[in-house]
Amino acid sequence: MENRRFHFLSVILQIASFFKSWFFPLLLIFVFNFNNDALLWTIARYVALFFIIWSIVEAILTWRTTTYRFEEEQVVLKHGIFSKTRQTIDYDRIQNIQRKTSALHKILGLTTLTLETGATGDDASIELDAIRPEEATEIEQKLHAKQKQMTFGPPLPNVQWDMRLNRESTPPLELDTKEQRKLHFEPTERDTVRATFASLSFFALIPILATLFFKAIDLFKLEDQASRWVDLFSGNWLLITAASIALLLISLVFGLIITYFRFGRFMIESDDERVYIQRGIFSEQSFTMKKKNVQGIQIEQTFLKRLLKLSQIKLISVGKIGDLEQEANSLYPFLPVKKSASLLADILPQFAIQPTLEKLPKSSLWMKLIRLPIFAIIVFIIIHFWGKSYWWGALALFLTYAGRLLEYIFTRYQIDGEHIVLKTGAWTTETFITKRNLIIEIEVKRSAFQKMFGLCTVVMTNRSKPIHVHTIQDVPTDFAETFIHWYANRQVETLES
Amino acid sequence: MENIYAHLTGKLSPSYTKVLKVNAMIEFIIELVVVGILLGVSYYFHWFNWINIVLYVVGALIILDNLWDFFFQSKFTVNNWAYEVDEQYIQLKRGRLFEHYEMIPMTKVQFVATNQGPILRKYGLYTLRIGTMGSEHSIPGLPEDEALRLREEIAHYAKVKEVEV
Repeated sequence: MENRRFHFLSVILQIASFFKSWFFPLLLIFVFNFNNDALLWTIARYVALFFIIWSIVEAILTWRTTTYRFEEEQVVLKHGIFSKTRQTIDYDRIQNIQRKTSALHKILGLTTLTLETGATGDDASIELDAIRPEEATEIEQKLHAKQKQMTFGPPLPNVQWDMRLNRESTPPLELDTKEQRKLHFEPTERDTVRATFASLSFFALIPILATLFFKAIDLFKLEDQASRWVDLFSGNWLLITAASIALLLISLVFGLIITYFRFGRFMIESDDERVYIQRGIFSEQSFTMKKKNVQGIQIEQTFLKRLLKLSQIKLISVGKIGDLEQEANSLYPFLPVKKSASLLADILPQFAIQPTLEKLPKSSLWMKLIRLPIFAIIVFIIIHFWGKSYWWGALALFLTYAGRLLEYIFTRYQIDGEHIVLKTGAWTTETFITKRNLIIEIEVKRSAFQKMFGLCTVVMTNRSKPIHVHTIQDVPTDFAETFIHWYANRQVETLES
Repeated sequence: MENIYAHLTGKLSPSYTKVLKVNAMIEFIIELVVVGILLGVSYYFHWFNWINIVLYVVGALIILDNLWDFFFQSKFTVNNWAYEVDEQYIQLKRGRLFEHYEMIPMTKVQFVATNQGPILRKYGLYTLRIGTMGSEHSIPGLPEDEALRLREEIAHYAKVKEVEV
């Protein structure tokens, strides 16, 4: 129960992150303009030097002053060099545990463990930035055990927060949840190949190549050389074809490698209470999420994924799960549609329902067609005043109506017992499945036109961080009415507080 | 089927129409002053001609909009507002051309408050604000006794919390 510090190497991590975020200014100052004697650059050099030294001092001081401690019922993190901050989080408030190992962390043999609560704001999560992976595992397991103990009473009296990594004296953990975990999914090579196409990652090479190309020309004064190449290629169809094929192959291989690194070693596991998601090869990430925190399931299909019969299942959960851009709440993003149903049934059986879904009536199509194409109109107005080609306006108009048609075709909805399923979207479709008592409020809207066609727009809100809002447009008024009655009859256990 | 919201019995105070009229007038004056200043500056500094045109159009729209608000919208708003508060739910409905209905379980209410600006005070009215996890809802233009009664009632019902499963 003593105060612990991060691993000393966290100093290196901090210094590295300083250099990473100031990479280009430093490059400019110390490499490209090192011999530039202008006053401005001389000053810049000294200022930069000062900041480098300060960043090192700061890193050391930060390491010295940051401590954490696991107490009986809470974890306490203290940090701050001049102004001290003390952060406390109760174990039972921790909703998700996230583990992230960047490439640098991996080289140094460290990992980052984030304990997240359902709250918002600065105090919502505690980040243990640089600790040993063994310690992280131990913390995770003990937290799980501790949470179990706090919910189900005291049958596990031996969970002590003795975190000294004293291998000999630590008895083997009896609560090893690894045993009960079941592996549900690991991508095969086939999955990786499909993911490469679905993510279009082979295009990623093109900007990189282009940048390198122009940088090289700039740096080594290759203009003449380049123009000679252009002469060589122009008119020679054989050479052009060969070069294109070579480029295509290279970018395919590149895409495969990128996809493999990002999604290759993906693991979805679960036990009775939690879902565990692991991913990444260079930088590893792992997430632990309580099953009972899952507020709904969202199945997403982009246009491309639909063609490749892939889908992405997202778990809408109470706490924030990692960075949104990382899509951490996603089960494997390129899941074959065939597999997704069985996977869902395995992991979250309470959401694995497949009722027959209703389609939109013809009148919705009319409604969608008469709605003002505001975006296209704005495009037309801008074009009119800028004097550019009207084709862009026509394109915007076409995309708008094509989108509306797709929306009409793909929209589905159904209420099935405690569940509701809404499928919306045009180019990318989203199927949202949730249960009645997980919806925190509902809205039903209709314009005069919608009313004339007997249609409504239905909105429902679920808990997430901050909230998850799902809207379905132009459903029949009958359905809206059923929806309101269905929601009005929600039955929940309550407690007086 | 014609009116699926007939069961909502709560109404706004008729005098809220007057509040809306006063609001429309104040808005009208402020907006016209802003546009007027912009027009003056535009002429003084010889801005592009199209800016003047845009400003005149905006000015005309402001006049029309506020006339509409003053003579029609103020009455429609009050007539089309309806709400219902019971032990389990708060239901709010507003609008006719754009109908909007909301249903909030009592257990999800996080706070309830009454507000009163100077114009509302003059007519003895209150706005009831209801905050939930994700959003804030309000019922404007309630008579004092009704607003305070609703506030107490909601505060009482909202004490009950759900077991989070």
